[in-house]
Amino acid sequence: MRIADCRSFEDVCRAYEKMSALNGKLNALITPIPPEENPNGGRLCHVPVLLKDNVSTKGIRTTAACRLLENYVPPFDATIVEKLRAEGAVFLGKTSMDELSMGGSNLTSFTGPVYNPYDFSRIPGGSSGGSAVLTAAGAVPLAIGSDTGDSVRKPASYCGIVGVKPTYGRISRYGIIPYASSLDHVGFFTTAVEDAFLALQILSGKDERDLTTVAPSKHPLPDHIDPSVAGKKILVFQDVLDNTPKQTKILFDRIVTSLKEKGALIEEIRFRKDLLELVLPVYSLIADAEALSNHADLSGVYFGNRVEGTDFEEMLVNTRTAGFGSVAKKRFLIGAYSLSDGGVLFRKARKVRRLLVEEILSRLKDADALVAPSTPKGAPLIAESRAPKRKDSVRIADNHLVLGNLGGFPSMSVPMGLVDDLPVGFSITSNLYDEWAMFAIAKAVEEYTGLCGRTKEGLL
Amino acid sequence: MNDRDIEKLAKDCRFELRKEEIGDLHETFRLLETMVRRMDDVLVNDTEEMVSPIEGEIPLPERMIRKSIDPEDVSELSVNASGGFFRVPGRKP
Repeated sequence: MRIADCRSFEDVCRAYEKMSALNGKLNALITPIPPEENPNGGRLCHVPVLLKDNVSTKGIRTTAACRLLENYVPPFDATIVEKLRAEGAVFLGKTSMDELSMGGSNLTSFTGPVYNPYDFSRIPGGSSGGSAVLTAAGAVPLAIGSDTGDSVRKPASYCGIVGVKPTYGRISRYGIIPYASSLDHVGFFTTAVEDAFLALQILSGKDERDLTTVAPSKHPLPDHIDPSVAGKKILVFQDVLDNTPKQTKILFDRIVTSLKEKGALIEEIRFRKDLLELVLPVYSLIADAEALSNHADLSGVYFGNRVEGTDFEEMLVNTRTAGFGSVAKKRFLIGAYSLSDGGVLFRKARKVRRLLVEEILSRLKDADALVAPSTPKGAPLIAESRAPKRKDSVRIADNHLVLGNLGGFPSMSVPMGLVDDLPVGFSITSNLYDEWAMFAIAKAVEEYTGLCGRTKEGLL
Repeated sequence: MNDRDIEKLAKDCRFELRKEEIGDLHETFRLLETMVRRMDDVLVNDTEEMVSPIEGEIPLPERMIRKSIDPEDVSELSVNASGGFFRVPGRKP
C-alpha cells in the first residue's frame, strides 16, 4: 500500500475496516480511533496513519504499553501529530509497543504480544512492533514509531518494510513519552522509499518545544532523492557479515554487487573489536539510567493508575510495583546500578560511547554510508525470544544498529528479500545530516530488489 | 551482586520485586559487571571531556548556544508524559 493509493475518505474507512480485521490476528493495536474526516488538504490528504502509543494525542488514551498509564489521556498533541494532521492525515489508531519502548520483541505490552504477519509464531521485533506489522500487512501506508536502539529498523527488517531513523534532532520529540533522551529518535514505517522520504520532509523541522531539534537552515534536507549512486563510497561492515548466516549474506552480497555495477565504490571495513563488544552494555548503562530519570514522575501522584498505601512512600512503591512489567523493572534496575556511587558507571559508559562514535565518524567522514544486513536472519520465534541470550559474538550482528543511536547517525532498513520465507532488511547508515546519501542508496536497493510497495497478503 | 544488592537497587527505583524476578537478575548483573571491567581496558587515556557530546555530533540546544548559556548549567530540564521541558544528562556528576 502506498501513500498515493489513498485518494478519498472512503479509502480511509476501508483501511480502518481492514486494520480492525487484521488486528484480530496480529494484536497490534492498543486503541483504535474511528476515522474522522480531516478538513486539511496537504500531502497526506486522505492518508490513514497509525501512531505508536508513546505519541501523545490530545483526548485519546496514550499508554506507552505501560499498565501504570493504562488510562492516561494526554491534554496535548505531540508536535508530530500536529504536523501530520496539518497535512491532512487521518489517524486510525495507537499501536502496540514494548512497555515504555523497553524491548526488542513487542512481547511486553500489557495488551499482550504482537504477532509477525509472515509467521504468527514469531515476533515482529520491537519496540515499534505494532506500527510495523500493520504497515507490513497493508493496513496503512505510513505508521509512526520511535527508535532508541533499533526499535524502528529491526521491526522493519523482520516485517519486510522500510523503516527510517533520521539524524538526531531532525524530528521533534515533544510529546513523545521518552525512553532515553539522548538516544530516542522519532522514526516511521512505509512500504516504499519515496513515501519514507515524503514522511521525513513532513515530520522534520525546528521545534521550540524540543531544544534538541535542528534548524533546517543549518542542516537542510534534500528536496528529492538523488537518482544515482555513482561515485558514492559505501563501506561494508565486515564485523557484522562475519556473524551472518550464508543465506542472508548471499542476498546482501547480490545487492552490494548491484550497487557496484551502478558505479558505487565499495570498501570492506572492520572496527575495533574491543569497542564493538561494548556496544550493548554501553547502550544499557546509558539508556536505562536516562529512563530511570525520565520516569521518576510515573508515581501515580498527578496521573496514571494509582495503588493506594498507608502513606506517600507506600503508595509510590505500590503504584510502581503494580504498574511496571518485569522487563521495564529490570531496565530501571540497570539504570539505578549505572547511576549508583555518583554515576561512576554512567560516566564510564558515556566515555566509551565517545570512543565508539569517534570510531564511526572517522570512517564515515570520507564515505557516504555504512551498510550491513539489518538483522542476521528473519524474526525469531516467540519462545526463542524469551530464552536466555546468545553469546557476544552473535550479538554484534544483532545489535550493530544501536550505533546509529549512540552517534545520532541517520539510518534506515530497506527490505532485501526473504530468507527461509522470512523478511530480512538491508541497513544503511550515513554521516550526520546526510540523509541525501542514505536515501539515494536505499532507492537503488529498492530498484534492484523490486520490493517497492510489497505487503504481506492473504492474512484475511 | 547478591539478592540484598538487587533489593537495594529496587528500593532506589521505588518498586518491589518478586522472588523469581530477583533470581532472573543475577545473570544480567554478572554479565554487566564483566563488561564494565572491559570498559576499563579501553579507557586507557580517558578524559572528562569525553563525557560530553561534541557540538555538531549530537547538537547542543541552539537556544543555549545563542544565548551563551553554559550547557553545564542545564541539568534539570525534563520532558515527561504530561509535557514540559527536556532533560539532558548533566555534564557534571
